[in-house]
Amino acid sequence: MSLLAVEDLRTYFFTPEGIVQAVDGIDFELEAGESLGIVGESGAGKSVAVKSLMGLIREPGRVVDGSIRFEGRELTDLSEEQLRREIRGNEIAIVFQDAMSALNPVFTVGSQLVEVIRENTGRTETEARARAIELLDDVGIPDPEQRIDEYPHQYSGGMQQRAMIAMALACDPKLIIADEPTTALDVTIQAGILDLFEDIQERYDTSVIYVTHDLGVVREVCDRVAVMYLGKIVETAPYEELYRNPKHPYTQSLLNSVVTPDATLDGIDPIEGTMPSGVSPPSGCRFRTRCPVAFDECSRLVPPRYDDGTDHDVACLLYDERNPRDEPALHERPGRGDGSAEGFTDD
Amino acid sequence: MGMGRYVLRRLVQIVPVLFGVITLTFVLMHALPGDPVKIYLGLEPSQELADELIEHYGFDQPLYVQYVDHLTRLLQGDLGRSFTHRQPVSSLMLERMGPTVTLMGLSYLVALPTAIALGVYGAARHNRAGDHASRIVGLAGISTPNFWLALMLIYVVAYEFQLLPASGYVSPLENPVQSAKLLVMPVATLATAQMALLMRMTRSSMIEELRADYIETARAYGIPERRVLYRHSLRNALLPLITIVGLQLSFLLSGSVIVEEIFAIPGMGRLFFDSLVVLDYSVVIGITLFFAVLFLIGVLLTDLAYAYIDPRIRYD
Repeated sequence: MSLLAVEDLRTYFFTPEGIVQAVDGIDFELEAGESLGIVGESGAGKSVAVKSLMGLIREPGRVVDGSIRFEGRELTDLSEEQLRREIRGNEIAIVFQDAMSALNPVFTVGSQLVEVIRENTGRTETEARARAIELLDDVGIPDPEQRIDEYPHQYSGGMQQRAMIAMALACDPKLIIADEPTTALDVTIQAGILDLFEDIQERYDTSVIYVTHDLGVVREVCDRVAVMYLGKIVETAPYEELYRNPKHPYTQSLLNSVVTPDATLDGIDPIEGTMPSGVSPPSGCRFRTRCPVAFDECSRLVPPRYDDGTDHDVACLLYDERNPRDEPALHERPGRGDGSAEGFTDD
Repeated sequence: MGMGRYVLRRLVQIVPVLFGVITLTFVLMHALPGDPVKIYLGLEPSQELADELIEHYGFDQPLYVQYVDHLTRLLQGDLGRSFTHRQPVSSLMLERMGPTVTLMGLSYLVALPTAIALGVYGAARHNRAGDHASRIVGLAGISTPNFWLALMLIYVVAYEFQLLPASGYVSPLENPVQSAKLLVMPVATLATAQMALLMRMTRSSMIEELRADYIETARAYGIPERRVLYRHSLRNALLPLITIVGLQLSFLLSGSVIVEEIFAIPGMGRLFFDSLVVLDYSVVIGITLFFAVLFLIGVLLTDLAYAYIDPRIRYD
C-alpha cells in the first residue's frame, strides 16, 4: 500500500469572477520514503494541490471532489478538528517558500518550535525545549542553545529555512511537503538546503513532496516527477526517464526553456503565450492553446492518462493508440512554426 | 542601555513641546475678547475692587511682562492662582483630578477589552453575519456625537425609566454603590466612540494579519484556531492598535470636558470649561499643560510598548 494515494482531486475557488478550477482532477501516488516533485509554472495549481492534502484550503476555496488516502485513511472524510489534531504537523508537515514570513516575527524561533512540539506530542515545556534544541542542531543551526532564543529576524535567510525544516521534523511526520523550499533563497544557499532535505529524508525516514517550478531542484532531490499544467497533471515519470524521454509537448517545452550555464540565449526556447485563466480553461486539452503540435481532436477530447505499463504516464492525445493523427511526435521535440497549431480559437 | 537613553532623549524632547503649548495657550487666551475683571466683578465694578484685582494679578502690565512672569513662575513649579476660585491652581487641579482620572481610566478599561474582543470576533468571521453586525455597531458608535449620546442616556435611562441618577459625582472611596450608579452613563458615553474606533482598528488589523504566512504556518502545524487568533495574530495586530490607543488620549481629554459638563462631574474637564468662560488664564494654562504632559507621556508609553511587542523594533 502506498503512503499517499490521490485520486481525482478537485479544488475549486468560488470567486465573484467565476469558479477557478485551480486543481481539476489530479491523481498521484507516493510510496513511503519516496520523493516526488510537482513541477509547473506559477498558477498551475501545485501549491493548491498540496495544501488540499492537509485541508489548508481557505474560503473561497474548497476541495469539491476526489479522494486523498493517507496510510489507508481517507483524509477528505476527516473533520477540521481531526485534521488539526491527527494530521497537520504530526503526520504531514509543510515547509513554505518564504521562511522569513512563514515564521512569526514576534516570537522567538524556540517558542514557535516548542509550541508545535507541545501541541502535537504533549511533551512538557522542558522536554519540548530540549527537543527543539536537538532539532535545530540536526538541521545545522550553529550554537542551538543560544540561537533558540533568538527571533526570526536575527537569523539569515538560509537559517530561517533551516528553522522551518526543524519545525517540519518536530513531530516525526511521515510526509513533508516542501512548497518551493528554495525559491526565496540565494542560489549559493539553495544547494545546502536541498542537501539538508536529502539528508533528513534518509535519517527521519520520511517521504517528501517538492513543489517547484525549478527543474534543477527536481534533478537534485526527486525520485519521480509530476508535471502540472493549469490544474491537471499532464505527465508523471521517474526523473531520469522524464528528462531523457519527455512525452507531453508541455514537458518538452518546459525542458527546452531551462536556462543552463552553457547554453547561449538562442538555445533557450521559451514557451509562448501565457497560461489561460482557471476560470475559463480551454476545452479539451488545456495546453492546446499553447501547444505547437495540437490538432483538431485536442479541443474536443479531454486527454485521459495513457499508461503504457511502465510508470511513465502521459495525458496527451498524441499517445492514443487510435491516434487520430498520422505521425505521432514521440520523442522528438516539436519545432516552432509547425502549422498544426493554427486554426484554433481560444474559447 | 539603549532603551534608557531613548527614554531620556524623549523626555528631554518634551520640554520644547511644552514651551510651545504654554506660549500658544497664553497667546490664544489673551486674544479672546472680554475683560476678566468685568466678567468676575460684574459690568459696573467698584474702582477699588477692580484696581485691587488688576494689581494683584498683574493685568495692568504689558502682555510680554505678564508672559515672562507666568513663565518664570511655571519654571519655579508654581502654576499661579485662580482669580475666580481665589486659590492656587495646583491645589484646585488636585481636587478635580480624581473624578477625571476615574472617568478616563474606566473608559479605557471598558473600551479596550470590548473593542479587542469584538474586533477579533469580526475578523474571525470576516464577511459573515457576525462581522457585518459588529461593523454596523462600530459605525454607529463612531458616528454618534458624545453630547447627543449623553443627553439621550439621561433622557431614556434616568428620566423615562428612572434606572439611574441623572447626574452628579461621588467618589468611589466614599460610597462605591452610589458612585458606580453615577459613573455608568458618563463612562458609557466616553467609552462608546472610543470602543467603536478601536474595534474597527482591531478588526482591520486582524484581517490583515490573518492573511499572513505565519498564520498559515500555525494552522498547518495543528495550532488550535483560538490560539492562532489570540496568540499569533493578535500580538501582531496590536501594533497599529497601540498607536491609536495613545492618540485617543486626546479624544478622551476633550470628551471629558463635554461629559463632565453634561453629567455635572466636578472634574478637570469641567474646571477647564468654566475657567475658559471667565477667562481665568492661570487655570486654563495649568490644565492645558497637564493635559499636554499626560498626552506626551501617553505617546511615549505607546512607543515603548511597540518595542516590547515587536522585537524587531529597538531604540538605540
